[in-house]
Amino acid sequence: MSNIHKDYIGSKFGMWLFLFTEILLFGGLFILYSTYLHKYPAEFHLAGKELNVYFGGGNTVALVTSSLFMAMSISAIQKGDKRLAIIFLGITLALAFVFLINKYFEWGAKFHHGIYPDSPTLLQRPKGEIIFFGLYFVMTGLHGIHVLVGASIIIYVLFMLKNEKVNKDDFVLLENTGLYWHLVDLIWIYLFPLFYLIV
Amino acid sequence: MPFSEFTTTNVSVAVIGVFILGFSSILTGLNFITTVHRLKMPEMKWTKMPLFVWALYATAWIQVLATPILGITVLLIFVERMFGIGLFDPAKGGDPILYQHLFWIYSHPAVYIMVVPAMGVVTEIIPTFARKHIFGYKAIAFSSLAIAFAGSLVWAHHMYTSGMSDTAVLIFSFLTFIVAIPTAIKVFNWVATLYKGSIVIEPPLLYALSFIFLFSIGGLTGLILGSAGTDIHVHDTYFVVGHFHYTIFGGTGFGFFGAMHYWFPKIYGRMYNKKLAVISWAILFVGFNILYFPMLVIGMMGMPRRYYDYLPQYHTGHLISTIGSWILATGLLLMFYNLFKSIKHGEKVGKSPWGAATLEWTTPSPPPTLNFVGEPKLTRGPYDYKGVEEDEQYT
Amino acid sequence: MSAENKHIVSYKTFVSVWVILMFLTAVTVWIAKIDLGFLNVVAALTVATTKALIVILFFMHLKYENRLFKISVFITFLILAIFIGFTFFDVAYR
Repeated sequence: MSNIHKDYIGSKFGMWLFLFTEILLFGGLFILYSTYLHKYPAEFHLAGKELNVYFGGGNTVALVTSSLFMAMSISAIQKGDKRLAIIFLGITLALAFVFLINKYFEWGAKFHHGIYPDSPTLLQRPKGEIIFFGLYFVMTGLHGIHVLVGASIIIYVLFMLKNEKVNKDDFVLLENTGLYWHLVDLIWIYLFPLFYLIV
Repeated sequence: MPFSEFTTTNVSVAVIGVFILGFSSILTGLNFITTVHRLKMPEMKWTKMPLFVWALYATAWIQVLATPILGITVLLIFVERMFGIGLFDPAKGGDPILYQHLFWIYSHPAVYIMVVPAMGVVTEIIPTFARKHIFGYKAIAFSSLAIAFAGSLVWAHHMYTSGMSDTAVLIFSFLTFIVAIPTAIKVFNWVATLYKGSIVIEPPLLYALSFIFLFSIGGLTGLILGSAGTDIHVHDTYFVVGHFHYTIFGGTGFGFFGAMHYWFPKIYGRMYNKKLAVISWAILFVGFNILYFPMLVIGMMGMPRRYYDYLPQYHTGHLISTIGSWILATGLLLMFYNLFKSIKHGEKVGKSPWGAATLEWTTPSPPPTLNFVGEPKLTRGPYDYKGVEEDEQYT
Repeated sequence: MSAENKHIVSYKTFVSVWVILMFLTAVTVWIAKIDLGFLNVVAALTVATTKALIVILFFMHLKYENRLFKISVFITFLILAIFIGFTFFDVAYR
């Protein structure tokens, strides 16, 4: 077709609508978290203390910083600076992997202590703690999958930047990837205090 | 613990299927919202949009905002089956009622996803065949949005007997009545549109009128179920089965049939056999009521849902229902036979067999690629019938 | 592509936003160390929501988008709040 129609605002609005579905997808889990916190405040308090604030805090720094570079990458491409956009996006990607490696060690340590869903050690604990760790694995797990998906999309966009398919005049793909990435950050902003700090 | 988490049938595959279907629902909604906002022709202001589009717009928002809750619910079933986390298992500290909450947070709005577009169809059909401007355009448009919003406030009215708190029963019962307001606004406006109109009885109008009749029965029986006091008596009985068939089949189903008969000539450029369409409608309508009305009665008498057998006192009701189901099936077969046959063999029609005022009737039937020949011009409101061009043979 | 809605946010703005977010992260960790009982939950969520708002407004450009985007985001969070809040009509009164 000759009359290619590019709707910049429409494209971004569509992405926002998709993000709304993500917010409500996690929202279902937040409903569970809030009701179980209401039901088992003492158990959540004790179990939460077992999570390492340094792991959680470190990952918060990693994700927020990656969001910063993502945002700056968009500014860079808007200014037409392809090289800088690629560098910034590369840093974002690197920080995504820092987050995932960190998560791997954190989960690994828990598994090592026999704490994983349905484990004999966990089942001997009070019910509220079983639920706390259940929610911990489900929510950070689903979030981790989102980080992984986000990282894959970032790799794809890096190639698109390199090929100049994403450029100064047509960067909505990068911007929508950024929106997705910031949402992943946004959810972590809530997960961090809910699991690591409210103890 | 929800049955789906420990049944030995392979629910895992089924819930993945549901999850993927959810995506299709979400993407449809996403597409419709973005399209309404971004691809309207410049002259098409919000108050110039056909009310069917308004209904689809409201529906699309429900699809986007409610479906993800179903997504996480089925995902949790999957995860529970795989890893046994126990979020809904009382033995591990979980609360099975929360599963019901999650399920109904989506599944109540889901019925509005089904019925609001049908209401939109009825809103198109009625003014066309009453040859009269729709009464209360803004009220109808607003009521679509209001139904969509109110749909997110009332889910727990499915759970009065689940063991949730009495406070919740009270509040959700009260909130449920709110939904009746925008629904009634629509019904009153439809009736007001018909009043003093020059009504032409055609198959689509018959379906639209039966929608109003059947859906009103569905809606009013819904109020009986919505009040906690009466619900306790008829919960999980055939009364509920009768109620939702009146809303979903009598509502969505008849709306859908009405839409098929209304836009059929536009889609295929041919007209079905109208006499046969009226006959099949009559059989369908009679069969429907013979099938579902006895359910309301035996439900009141205490016939429970989901049993394949029953006590002798329910025999007559079941017998009448069964006979009704045969009549209904006959009507359906006749209707589909008529439509399918007419795709190839119906009489040819022009642009506008009904003399409707919305834009789709200004393009040839069937519409060419990209829908319009050249850029369409908006010369009238969607319900402004003065001087509408209508095909010769049907005037 | 037309120049519509092409607002370039400066690196400086983004870095300042990042500094504020880092500061708030430190604050929330610090508050969590003090035992305030239920107020800990309130404090943590207040800080988290502030951070979320900053991310949405600046990193996600919502501040520079038109009204449609802002209203939609508001409605989404309103619906989420209803879903969580109304569930408490049950769980809080059992």
